[in-house]
Amino acid sequence: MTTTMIPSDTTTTTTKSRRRAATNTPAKVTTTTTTQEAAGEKRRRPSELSDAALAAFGEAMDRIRQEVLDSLGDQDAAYIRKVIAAQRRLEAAGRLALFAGIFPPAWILGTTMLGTAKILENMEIGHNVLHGQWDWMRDPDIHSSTWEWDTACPSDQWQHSHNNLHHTWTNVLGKDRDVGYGVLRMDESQRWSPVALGQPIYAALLATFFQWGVALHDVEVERVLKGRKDPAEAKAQLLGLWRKARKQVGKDYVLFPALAGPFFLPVVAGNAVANLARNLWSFTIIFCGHFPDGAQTFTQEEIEEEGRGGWYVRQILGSANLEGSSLMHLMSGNLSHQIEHHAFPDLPSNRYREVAPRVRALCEQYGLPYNSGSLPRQFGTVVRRICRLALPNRD
Amino acid sequence: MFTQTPSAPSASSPKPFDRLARAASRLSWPLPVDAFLQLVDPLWSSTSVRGRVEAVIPETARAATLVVRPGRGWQGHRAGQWVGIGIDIDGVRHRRCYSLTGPAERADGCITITVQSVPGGLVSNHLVHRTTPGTIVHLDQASGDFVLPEARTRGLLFVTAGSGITPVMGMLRTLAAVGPIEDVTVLHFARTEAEVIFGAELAALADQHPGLTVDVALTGEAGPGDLSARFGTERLAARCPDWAEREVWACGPATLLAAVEDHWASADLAERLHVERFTPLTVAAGEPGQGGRIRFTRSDREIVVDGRTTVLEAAEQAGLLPESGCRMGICHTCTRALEAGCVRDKRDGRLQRDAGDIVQICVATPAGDVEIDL
Repeated sequence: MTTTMIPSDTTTTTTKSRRRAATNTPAKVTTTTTTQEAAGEKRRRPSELSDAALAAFGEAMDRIRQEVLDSLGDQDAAYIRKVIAAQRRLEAAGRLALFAGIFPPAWILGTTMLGTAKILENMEIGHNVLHGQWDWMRDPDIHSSTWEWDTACPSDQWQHSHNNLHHTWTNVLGKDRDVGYGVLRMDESQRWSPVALGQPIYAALLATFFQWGVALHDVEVERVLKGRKDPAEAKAQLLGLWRKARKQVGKDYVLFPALAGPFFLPVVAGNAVANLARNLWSFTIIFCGHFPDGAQTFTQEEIEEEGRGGWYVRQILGSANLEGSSLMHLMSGNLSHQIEHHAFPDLPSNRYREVAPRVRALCEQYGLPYNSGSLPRQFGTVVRRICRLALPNRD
Repeated sequence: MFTQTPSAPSASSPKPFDRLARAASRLSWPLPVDAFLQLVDPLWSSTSVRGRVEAVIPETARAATLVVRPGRGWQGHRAGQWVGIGIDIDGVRHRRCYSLTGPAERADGCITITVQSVPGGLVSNHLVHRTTPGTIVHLDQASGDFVLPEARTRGLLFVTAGSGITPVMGMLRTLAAVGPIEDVTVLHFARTEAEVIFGAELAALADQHPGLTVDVALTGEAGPGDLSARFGTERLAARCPDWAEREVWACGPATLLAAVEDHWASADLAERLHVERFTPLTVAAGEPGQGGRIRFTRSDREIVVDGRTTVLEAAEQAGLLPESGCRMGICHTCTRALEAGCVRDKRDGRLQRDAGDIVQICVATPAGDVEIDL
């Protein structure tokens, strides 16, 4: 066990964002803080930990991960199968109830059940299965290579944009396209233009149509427009998206309504509301993961020569947790433990809760901030940030 | 040696069900309709075959028969064939192949496999000692051509040892089900009386069928044991004088099969001999591959393994799900292209080192760093 004790760098964090706010350009080597100059460092780094402390921190995190991996077994397998079975029952029951949706109580019940099922399917099941969290079971029915989920985004495109880009480059400006999804200005260092004035409205639209935002995410329209991406590649992705999306839309807005015959309208409405509820909820949870106050962003220079320990530190500093009930954790797909998820993206989600206190204790030991708060508090600061950054930085 | 044999069709045409399942899958999309059917009955499936363990019957101290009710899609089997079976242990799916020991058509529609636990064997011990009725297993279709010819039911000789009796038991039960067994001899070898799987049933069958001769030789607990009880020319001549006129099926450990193959080859009767192996032939000890880093290029994963781990096992350890069948170099289900590096075939030590070589990953071990298209 290492005994390194380093003072918290929360104050440095604030300084950093203010400084960048002041310059209104991506942080550069020239904005090196005085504390780091004193430590003899040439380059800004996400934390003030020494290389040795970073390495020790990384090893301690690796040990937590390995202990969980070694202890995976029947109970974990039973957990995910139970969630999957419950989700499917809920979905089937919700759709059946909606056939009687001409009666308001049946409509409300059916829509609630279907919306809940869609949230569970996307969050606790789909997202986590696609991360490979359950690949260790070697069950071809619950495997990242075979899973397709109930949303417009094809799972292979999601695995590229999310697992590969977002999780590798978490909160690195210019690399992690989840910072504002290419639509919103989420960091002071991102250039302001008058277009940003409308971003509270863009954010509301993104939340409303979140599954489509996610689906178009990997096409990287903005990079195609700037000539940084081959249009042919984007076209192939759009084709894949179209093939999947038409089945999604067809199921919710043509097939199931048609089965209801003359009562098709309540079914259309119920499915639309269920999809909307899923969109709003997943937007909320995902934006709470990386954009509440205190969650940091990084420049590409800062993460050069980043080792395993430094990678863990960046994942932790760039993520934020939500506190709440067991139901909230389940419905968020355990992304309420965003810090643990980003540190250990392929550990089964049911284990984040038990490793969270250990990660938190390690952070305290190494003087790293551990950003955790209630959903209203965290989301409130996200909304504030979206509104604040609609305006140019204040000097 | 082995080729995939078409299985006996036993199920009636499942077309209406399949058509309904296809239509329903538009509604269950993106899940297969199975996902919802299995909430009602775990054996319902339109894509893979599942089975439920109905009973586990101890045969010896370390062998047990599992009676399995196959679900939708099971196409039946011919006596002597084996089945690939997947079972979850500690949450992890493991796949093994076992001979089917029941007759081709059991009255209750169940199939049986008989498993002898191997010391330290995770799956065999789990199946024999810790599997309970109600367990759901995952089945492949029956496979293998160690089967009785359709036309010939007499003038047969079976030479078996240990668990090698299992596919032969399936054949004897099938023969007994259709009429009196005529002119069939079984030479079985086991270490002790208590280890003879199906001992009582073999004796009872021999009593009921005068045409069936069962000769069980006990070779002793350990060491060389009773040498005269081992397979050899004299013993064969004494117990089955007309062996040269018979069609022969042999199944058992590698040492027995080597002796049997030598014997029939030297008599120039090798074409009469049918052999079933439970483990692939391996090169002499002291010549393992050196191991190395295996990179699975398609799935972008890597793992470092020793020279005894096959590429298939390594892929599974790395969390991948490559297709596989027999896991012993027979069925070619698992073949993949080598992209770089060198692999050693653990059966014969043969090296493959050319990019583009088709590798049977279930018997290929890394000889240094390897890249595989998987």
